[in-house]
Amino acid sequence: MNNSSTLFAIIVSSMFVNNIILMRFIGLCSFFGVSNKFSSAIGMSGAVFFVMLLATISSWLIYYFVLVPLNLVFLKIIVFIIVISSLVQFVELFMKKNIPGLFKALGIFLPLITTNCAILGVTFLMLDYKFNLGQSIVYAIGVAGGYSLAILLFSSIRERLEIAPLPNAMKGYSIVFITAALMSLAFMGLVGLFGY
Amino acid sequence: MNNVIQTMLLSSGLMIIAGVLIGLGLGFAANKFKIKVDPRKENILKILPGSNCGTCGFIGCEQYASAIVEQNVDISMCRPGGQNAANKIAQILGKESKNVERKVAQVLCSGGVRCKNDFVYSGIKKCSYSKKFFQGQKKCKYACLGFGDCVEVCPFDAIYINEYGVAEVDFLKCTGCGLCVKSCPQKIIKLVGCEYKVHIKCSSKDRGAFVKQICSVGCIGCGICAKVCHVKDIYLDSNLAVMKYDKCDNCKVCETKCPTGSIIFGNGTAKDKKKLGQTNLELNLVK
Repeated sequence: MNNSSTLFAIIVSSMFVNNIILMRFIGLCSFFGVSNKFSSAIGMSGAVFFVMLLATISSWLIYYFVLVPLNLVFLKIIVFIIVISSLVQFVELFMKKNIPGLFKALGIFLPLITTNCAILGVTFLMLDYKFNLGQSIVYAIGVAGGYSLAILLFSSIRERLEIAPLPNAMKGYSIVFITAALMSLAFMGLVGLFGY
Repeated sequence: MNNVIQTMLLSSGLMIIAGVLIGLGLGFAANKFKIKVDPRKENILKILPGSNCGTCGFIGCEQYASAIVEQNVDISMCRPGGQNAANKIAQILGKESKNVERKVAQVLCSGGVRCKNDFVYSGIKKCSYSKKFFQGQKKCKYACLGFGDCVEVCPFDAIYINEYGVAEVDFLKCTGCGLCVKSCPQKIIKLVGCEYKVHIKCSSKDRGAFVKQICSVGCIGCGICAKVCHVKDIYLDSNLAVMKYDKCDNCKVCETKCPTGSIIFGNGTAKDKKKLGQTNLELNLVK
C-alpha cells in the first residue's frame, strides 16, 4: 500500500485531478480574497503549505491516538478546530520571537488561513481515505501544492485583468468569478485520472 | 443508559482537559516568547507620517524608525515629515536636530489642451501606456500627457489634473517625497526648493518654430529670460530655457518679458498671453 507509486498517485491526484479549489470548491474565500497581487499570493501559498502540514500531522495523531481509543470519533470537528487553531497560534508566537524573517513573510497570512475550510477539509478527507501518517503528509503536501498552483495562476491572470478594458457590468468580482469558473472547467479535463 | 452517560462524561472531560491545557500552554508561550520593543521606536513611528513613501531609502516608516534607533541613521531623511519631525525625533533621542530642506514637486509643462494632439489615443488611460505608444498622444513629445499617473501615486493627494488637462501640484499639501518624479514617464516633474517661486513651465527641446506651431505656451528658446536675469540663474539648453534654482530671488522680470508666457510666478499653470480668450473655446472643442 505504502509504495512509491501510491504516493505518486496521491500527489498527482490531490494537486491536479482533485484540486482543492478548482475541483472540490473548498477554501474559496481566501482564494478570492488574497489573489489580487502575485506577491501576496506567494505569501499565502507559503502559509497554506505550512499550516496544512501542521494541521494534518497534529489531527492525524489526535484522531488515532486519542479519539479512536476513547471512542469519541464524533467529536472530531470541534477537536480538530481547537487543536489546529491553537497550534498555529503557538507557532506564530514562536516564529515572531525566534524566526522574525519567516514571520515577516508569512505572518499576516497565518491568522487568515488558520481554520480555513481548505485546512479543515484536508484533515477530514485524509480520514475518509484511511491514509496512514506518511500518506497523510504526502496528501497534505499535494493539496497545498494544488492550492498554490491555483492561486498563483489566478493572481497572474487577475493582474492582467486589472488593466484590461472591460465593460462596466464585468468590472470587479464578476469577471474574477467567471475567470475562476473557466479555470475550473479546464481542470475538469483531468477527471478520472486517479482515484484519490 | 450507563453507556450514554459514560460517553457524555468522557467527551466533556476531554474537552475541558484540552481547553485547560491549550489555554495554559498558549498563555505560557505568550509570556515566554514576548518581544521587547524599544519604546523610542514606537514614539518615532508615531511622529513619522506613516505614508510609507520610501524617500528616506527604507521600505517604509517602520523600517526607518528601527534603523534610527538601532543603527543610528541620520534623522533628517524624512522629507514628508520635514523639520517638524526631525526636531521631535531629535528630542526623543536626545540629539541635536538638523536642518531639513523643504522641497516641493513642480510639473514643468503647462500645455495640456493648448498643446495639439498628434493622434487620437483610445488605449488604457495611463501616461505610461500612452508613452509606449509613439511617445504619447501629444504632438510635443515632452508634454504632460494628463492621464494622472502622478495623481494616482501621490500618497498625500497633492497632485490633481487642472482645467487645462495638466498635472498640477498643491504646494501646501506636497511634502516632496518624490514618488511622482519617479512615476512620470515624460520625466517633467522636478523637486524644487520651496523658496523658489518662479518656474519655466516647459520642457520642450524642439526648435522654436516647431514649438510655436504646436503649443501656445511652450518655450521657444528665444533666450530673453537668460539675458534679463540679473543673477544669471537661467541658461539655454538646446532650445529650452532652464532654471538652475540656485540664486533666483523671485524678481519676476523674466515672467514679464517672456513672449510666450511659459514663465510664471507662484502656483498654477501658464496663462496664454496672446490668446487669453481662446482657451475656453479650445476647452469646449476638446470636451
